[in-house]
Amino acid sequence: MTEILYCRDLVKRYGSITALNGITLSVEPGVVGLLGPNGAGKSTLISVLLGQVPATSGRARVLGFSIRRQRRRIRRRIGFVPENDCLIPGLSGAGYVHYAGRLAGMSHADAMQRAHEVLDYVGLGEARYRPAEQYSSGMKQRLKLAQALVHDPDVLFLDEPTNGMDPEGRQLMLSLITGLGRAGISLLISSHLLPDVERVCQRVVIMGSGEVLATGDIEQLRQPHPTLYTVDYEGSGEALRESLAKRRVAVQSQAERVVTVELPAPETQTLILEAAREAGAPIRGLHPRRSSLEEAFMAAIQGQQNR
Amino acid sequence: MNGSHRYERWSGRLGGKRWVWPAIVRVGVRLASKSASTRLILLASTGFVVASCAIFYILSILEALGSRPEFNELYGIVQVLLGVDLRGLVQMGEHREALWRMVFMIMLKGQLACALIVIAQVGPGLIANDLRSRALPIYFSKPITPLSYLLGKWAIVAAFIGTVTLLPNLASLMLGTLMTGGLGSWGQTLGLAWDLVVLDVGIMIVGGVVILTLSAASADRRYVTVGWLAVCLLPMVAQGVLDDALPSKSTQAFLGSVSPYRDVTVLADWLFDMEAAYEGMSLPPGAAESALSHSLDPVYPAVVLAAVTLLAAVLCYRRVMRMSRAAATL
Repeated sequence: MTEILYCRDLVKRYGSITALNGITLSVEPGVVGLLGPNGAGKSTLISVLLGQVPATSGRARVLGFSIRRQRRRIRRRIGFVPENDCLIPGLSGAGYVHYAGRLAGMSHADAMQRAHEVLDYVGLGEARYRPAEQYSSGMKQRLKLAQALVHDPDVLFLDEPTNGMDPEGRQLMLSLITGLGRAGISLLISSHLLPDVERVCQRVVIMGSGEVLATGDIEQLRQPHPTLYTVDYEGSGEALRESLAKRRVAVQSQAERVVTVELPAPETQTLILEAAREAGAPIRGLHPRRSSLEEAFMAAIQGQQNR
Repeated sequence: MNGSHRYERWSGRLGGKRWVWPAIVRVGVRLASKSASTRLILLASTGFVVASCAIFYILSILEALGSRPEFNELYGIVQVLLGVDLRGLVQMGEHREALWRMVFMIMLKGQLACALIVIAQVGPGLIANDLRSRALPIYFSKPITPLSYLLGKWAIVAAFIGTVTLLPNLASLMLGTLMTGGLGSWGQTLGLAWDLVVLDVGIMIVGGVVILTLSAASADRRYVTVGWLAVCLLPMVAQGVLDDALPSKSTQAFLGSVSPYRDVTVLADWLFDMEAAYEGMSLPPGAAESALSHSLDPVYPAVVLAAVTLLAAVLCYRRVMRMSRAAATL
C-alpha cells in the first residue's frame, strides 16, 4: 500500500493568520500520532485533509485521492472522530451509529448489522438502546469511535480521543485503538497526551506554528542520550557512588541497585566500568538512556523557537 | 462494558449519495414525531377529512334530493359553511367540481394555520439542533453534499406540512368521490386533485425553505421559533391594517402581498379559478358576494412568495456551505 497521506507545500490562511505554513508530509500506513501544542495547526490539517476546509495553496492526497477534486471518495474511505460531543439528541447508541452508516451510504440492513458489530467492539453492546445523551463521557467517546468505524474505513482520524476520560476509560480507548491498528486500519491520532501517543503509535508527526517540526518512528525520535546511562549493579552502592563522584560523574538513584549517571563530556562508558571495578561493585547492566517522547517533543518545539 | 470483541472488517459495498437524504428524512421524521404536541396536530389534521367529507355528503344529498322541501335546512347549512346560497342552482351535479373547490378553499384556511403550527413545532430544530449539539462534523465527514443535507432537512418539514395539507386533501377527495359518484366520477375531479397537489407542494416549498433558513441562522431553536412566528404573524397584522387603510383594490393587491397567509389564499383562489367557478354556476346576484370579496390579482403574491423563497434558498445554501467547511472546527 502506498502512503495514506501526502501533502506538498500545503498552506491554509485565515485572513492574516497562517494556520498551515507549507506542510510537506508523507505518511505511510500504520498508527501515527499527530503532536503539537495548542494552535499548532493539527485540527486545521485534519479539516483540510477531510476536505472540510479548502487549502489556500499546495497539494494533498488522502489514500491517493486529491482533497480538492475527490473529497467524497476520500470520505467514503475515512472515518472521523471529532474532539467535541457531536451526538444527535433523541437517538439511542444503536440509532446513532446506524444513522452514521446510512449517511456513509450503507443500506439499512447493512448499517443496522454493522452498528451492532461496532458497538460490541467498543464495549457499548449492553447500552446500545439507551439514549446517547445519557452516556458517560467515556461512553460518548467510544460511541463517536463506533460511528466512525461503522462503514469500515481504511483510515481513521481521531481528534483528542482520550481527552477528558477517566483512567479506566482511557485504557479501554487505547486498547481499542491498538486493536484497530492490528486489524489493518491506519490511524492518525491528534493528541497532546504524549504518553497515550507513545503507547499506541508507531510513528509521530510533531507540529508547531503550522509547520512540521519532526517526523519519524517513535523509536528513532527517542535518541539514545550521549552522556546519560542507566547502571544496574551489585555490591555496595555507597562505594560506587563515591568512586563515580571522584570522577566528576553525577549519580541519581532510580531504584534499588539501579542508578542513572551522567558522564562529563567527552568521557565514555569506560569511566563507569573503571569506577565500578575500583568500588568492587560488579555491573549487571549498562544501557544508554533514551530520551522520552516528551523530551523529543520539547526539543522539536524549542528548536523551532530558537530559529 | 466488555470491549473484548476483536474488530471485524466489513466487506460490503457503499451505495451512492442519492440514498443519503432519505436516511436524513427517516431519522428526522422519527425524532420529530416523538413530540406529543406534534402528534396531536397531525391527529387534528384528520378533522379536515371528516369536515370535508361531511360537506361533500350534504352536497351529494342536495344533488340527489335538493328539490324536496324537507332538505331546505341543508341549504342553510351550506350557506353558512361555504358562504354561497345554492337554492337557485339548477343541475347541481354538473357543478360538483366547482362546489368542491369552494370546500377546499374553506379547508385551506384551517390547514394553513395547522401548517404554521406544525412548522413551528418541527422546523426550528432541524439545523439549529445540529449546530447546538455540534453534530455537523458527523454529517460532513461522510460522503454527503451540503445539497443532500439540505434536501433531507427540507423533506422532513415538507413531510409534516404534507401530512396536514396534502394528505387530508387527497383523502377527502378520494372519499368524497367514492361517496358521491363512485370511481366512475373520478375523472370529474381529477383536475382538482392536480390543483391541490400543486398548491400544497407550493406551501411545502415556501414554508420548508423559509424555516430552514431561519433554523440555519441560530443554534437556539427558541429564537428560530420566534423568528418564524414573526415572519408569519406580523405581516398578517400589517395586512389587516393596510386592508382598512387602503382605498383601492389594486393598491390592496400590491401592498396586501406582505402577508404570506394572504398571498397563499389569493394564489389558491387563482389556481382553483374560483371566479370562473362562481360565474359558471350562474347564481342569483348577491348569492356569492362574500365569497368573492377577496379575489385579488395573483401576480404580486406570486412574485413576493417566489422572491422570498428564492432569497431564503440562496441564503440557506450559502450558510450550509459555510457550515460544511467549518464543520471540523465547530
